[in-house]
Amino acid sequence: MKQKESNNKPRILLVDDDKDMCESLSDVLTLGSNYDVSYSINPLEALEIIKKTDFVMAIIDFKMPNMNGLELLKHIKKLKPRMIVFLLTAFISNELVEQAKKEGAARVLSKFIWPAEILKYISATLAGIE
Amino acid sequence: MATRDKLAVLGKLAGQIAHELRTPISVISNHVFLLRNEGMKDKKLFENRLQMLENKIKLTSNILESILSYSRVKAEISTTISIKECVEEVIKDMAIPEDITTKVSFKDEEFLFVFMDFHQLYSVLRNLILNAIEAMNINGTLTVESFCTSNNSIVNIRVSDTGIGIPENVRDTIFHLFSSSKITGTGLGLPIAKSIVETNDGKLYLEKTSGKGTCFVVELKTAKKIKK
Repeated sequence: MKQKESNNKPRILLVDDDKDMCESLSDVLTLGSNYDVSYSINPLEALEIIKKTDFVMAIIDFKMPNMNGLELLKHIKKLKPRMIVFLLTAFISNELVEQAKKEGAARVLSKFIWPAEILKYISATLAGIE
Repeated sequence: MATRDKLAVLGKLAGQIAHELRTPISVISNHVFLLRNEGMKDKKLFENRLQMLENKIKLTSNILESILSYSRVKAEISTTISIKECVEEVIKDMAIPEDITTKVSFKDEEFLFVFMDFHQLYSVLRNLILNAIEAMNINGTLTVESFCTSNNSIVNIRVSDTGIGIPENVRDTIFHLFSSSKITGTGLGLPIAKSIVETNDGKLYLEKTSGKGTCFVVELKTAKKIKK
């Protein structure tokens, strides 16, 4: 696990098997935004981290080795039912959105999302729970 | 391979291709956003971001190039083709660095013919030779040998290098789609090459790899009608 900052900011966990994606998105979220971001490139490791740390949100990729994003979402919700989960995917299908929502995902977003948009969705969703 | 089979393979690949392209595109988009916001305050960080952009642009371009080269493989016209001619044409067309020694040998020349599409064999050999060259930094030796086995019924083409070898953790997945240990590798070359060889009732396998080099072997049936 890599952690960018540690303080009282909302804690977000990124899970994507592509390290470059994790690092760049982590930089986006820590730049000018008030988030404390950690990331993991392994969904199994991510679950261990979630057990030990209180994150307000997880942003997870759908297609990963060992465990896909939907399975990870189910495990996260079992461990931390209140944690907000965004699922990122290269292909958004109605079926996937339905399934993800059923499992408790707050949003299913296209992997090709502009950084400004993802920041907007995060702040709107976190504002909604405050 | 028949056009419908090729389309079926491409259709199956579409989802994976989209995923593989969207990830580097997302990384590019993140870095552009970061460059806009950070400017050039930190020169090292700025350079790192530019390097990352360059790598990801190369990667997406390589993925597209591999897909295009696959679709460019001309409508299959299977003919009796000479392994010698095909190997020599691939090597002639490639920019092999001067510090790499190239050794090419042919045994049992009268039997070194296969019945398949020339462009398909060309693309398989080009891929193997390109990988071999990329595995060697300087002063390496690229060896391409062709000979017959099994009573001259099988043509063997061995492509070996004296490069760094394939990392142990990826050896089992080198023929899997989108599995690559290279920064700008697409993970399409070897699976496509293997698929072409197998479609022609042949085999493509990794014979050996270590820190001293790697050897891939293509086995194809000798053409029944031997062309002199």
